[in-house]
Amino acid sequence: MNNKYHLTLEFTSVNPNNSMELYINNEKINFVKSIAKCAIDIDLPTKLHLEIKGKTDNDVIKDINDNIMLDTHIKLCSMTLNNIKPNELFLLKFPKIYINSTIENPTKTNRIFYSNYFGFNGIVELDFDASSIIEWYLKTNQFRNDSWHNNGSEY
Amino acid sequence: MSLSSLESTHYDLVLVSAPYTETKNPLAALGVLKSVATLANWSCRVKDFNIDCVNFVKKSYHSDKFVDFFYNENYYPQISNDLIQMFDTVSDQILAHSPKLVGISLFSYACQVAAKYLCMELRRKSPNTKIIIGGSGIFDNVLGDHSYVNNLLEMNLVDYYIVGDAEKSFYNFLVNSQDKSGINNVNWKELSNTDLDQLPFPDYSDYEFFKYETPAIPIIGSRGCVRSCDFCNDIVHWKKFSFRSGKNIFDEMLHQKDRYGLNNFVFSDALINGNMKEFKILIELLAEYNTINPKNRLSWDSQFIFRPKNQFPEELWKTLSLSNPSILRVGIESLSENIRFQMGKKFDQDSLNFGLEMALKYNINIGGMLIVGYPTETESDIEYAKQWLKQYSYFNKILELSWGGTMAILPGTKLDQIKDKINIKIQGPPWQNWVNTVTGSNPVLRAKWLIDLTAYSKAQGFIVESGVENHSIVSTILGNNC
Repeated sequence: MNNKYHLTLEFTSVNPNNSMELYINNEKINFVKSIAKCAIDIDLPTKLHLEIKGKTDNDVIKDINDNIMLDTHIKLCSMTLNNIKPNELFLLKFPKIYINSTIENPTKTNRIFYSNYFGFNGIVELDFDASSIIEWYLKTNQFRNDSWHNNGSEY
Repeated sequence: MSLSSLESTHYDLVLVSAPYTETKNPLAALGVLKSVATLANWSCRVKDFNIDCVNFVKKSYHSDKFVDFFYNENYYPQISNDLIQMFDTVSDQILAHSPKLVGISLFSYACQVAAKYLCMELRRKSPNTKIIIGGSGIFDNVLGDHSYVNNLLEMNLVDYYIVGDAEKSFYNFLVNSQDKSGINNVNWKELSNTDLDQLPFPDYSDYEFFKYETPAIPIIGSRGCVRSCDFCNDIVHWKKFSFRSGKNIFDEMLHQKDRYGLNNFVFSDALINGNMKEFKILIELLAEYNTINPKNRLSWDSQFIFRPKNQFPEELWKTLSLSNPSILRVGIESLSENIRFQMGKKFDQDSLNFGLEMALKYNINIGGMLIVGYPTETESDIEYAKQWLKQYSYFNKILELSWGGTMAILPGTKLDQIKDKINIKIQGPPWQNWVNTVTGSNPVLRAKWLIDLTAYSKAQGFIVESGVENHSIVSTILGNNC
């Protein structure tokens, strides 16, 4: 049986300076009118690493009280695996962000965060920790557990 | 999960019941649809996934986790492997028949999760096999909101859905008729009395009756209801009451008894005595048969309404007794006549007492279904109910009580539509979660009434049915105080 699974990812971005870049498998993802869609075939289980880079201090605009008025970011807004769409709440907790890591050393960081909002340079890990579609889909219901991928009080 | 070895005879169509429905008796749907398929010249096999699953879960140490998964799709690693194996095995069993079409029946919303995972496995293993789903469980509520169905279509997990009474629409679908009413649309047509009498008898040849707690043959005598209770969602679904002739029902009972060797029947009707003329014919035929065959009597179980004495006099109760009902389930709903009339259940206290007196005299078991916490119910109504239970405790010989899980206001029902007028604020789902802003009725208060009435009934010698699901609802409402 074919063990390749068709993954589609959809992103939106707020990137007025066109500085922030997203790479998947070393290929730059192009945004058209702030939306990007891509599709790749993956094995199960697998860890997919997305690279976010290019954001600078100029990409965060704050007011005089240091409140963020505009933050350049990329957001994972939709995902399907073999056409199966997980619950939207799952997406909020699924991506694991290694802040300021690089593709050469993806998991080297002391700051890890779970979110579908990528406002930092770094590596986003999508961990497909299952051997089959059904196992993966079952596990997407973990988001209902408040302690799953809990970012803690820092965030 | 222990399942029989794969049988690989080819069938054009495999019909499957999706878990999770706890039932003591088999459900009629798949037998009904199999006979329709046969009429359309499709070879057909039925797979009762639901009972295999229910029996497996009941024996499992993690039964509560399985139930929570099927109802709410919560994840438990302890049962993950069992679930994966379950869906893998069942999908293999279905596909071993190389069907061109798989039909999945969803009895209620509690079947949605299992149906989705089953579709996933079927699609993965055999992407070219078409899948159709149907049953009252495919919609989110009785209004026909269909985010669930749309989600499955969007994910390409099903090809078709079928709505409403499927006998005609499913036949049309199988013969590729131009009439697509009820297929991927909500324009289904209710069957007429004549239609019902002309339907083929259901085919239960694939049913494994021995797997059920109470092996009995399912049977459908009518659809819809003659009452107009404002809490009911059946009448939102079936706008008319349609019924089979008494003779037609009796003929089916004899046919099925001869085929399957079982004498017990369970009707899925909202009420068996909606049309008095045909009901009288039916019980007379049954009474005559049972009198001639005392060692081989037919018995039956159905929902029933109490009628005034002038509509259902004593001689009919006598005939009813000879027809051998194992139990008549009556929607008493409230022991207060006033509350019953407010909810549209219009039978008075005389009719209630007369019905119970007759049941006692002729030794007919009555299963009284009651609701605690109708929106206008107050503490004084609860006290009245207790007085009645004490005064009429002698009915405990034939009357078994079921108090339900407190009043649920289901979307789309008449009660739901008038909720603003009667000061109801819905805070659910779950649909037991509502308050009456004038009387102060709230879920916790109603749960306490339920516990009080249950205990009081038992103290008066009544048998009180206590379902797992109702207990779970009350426990959730009261937390650790239950």
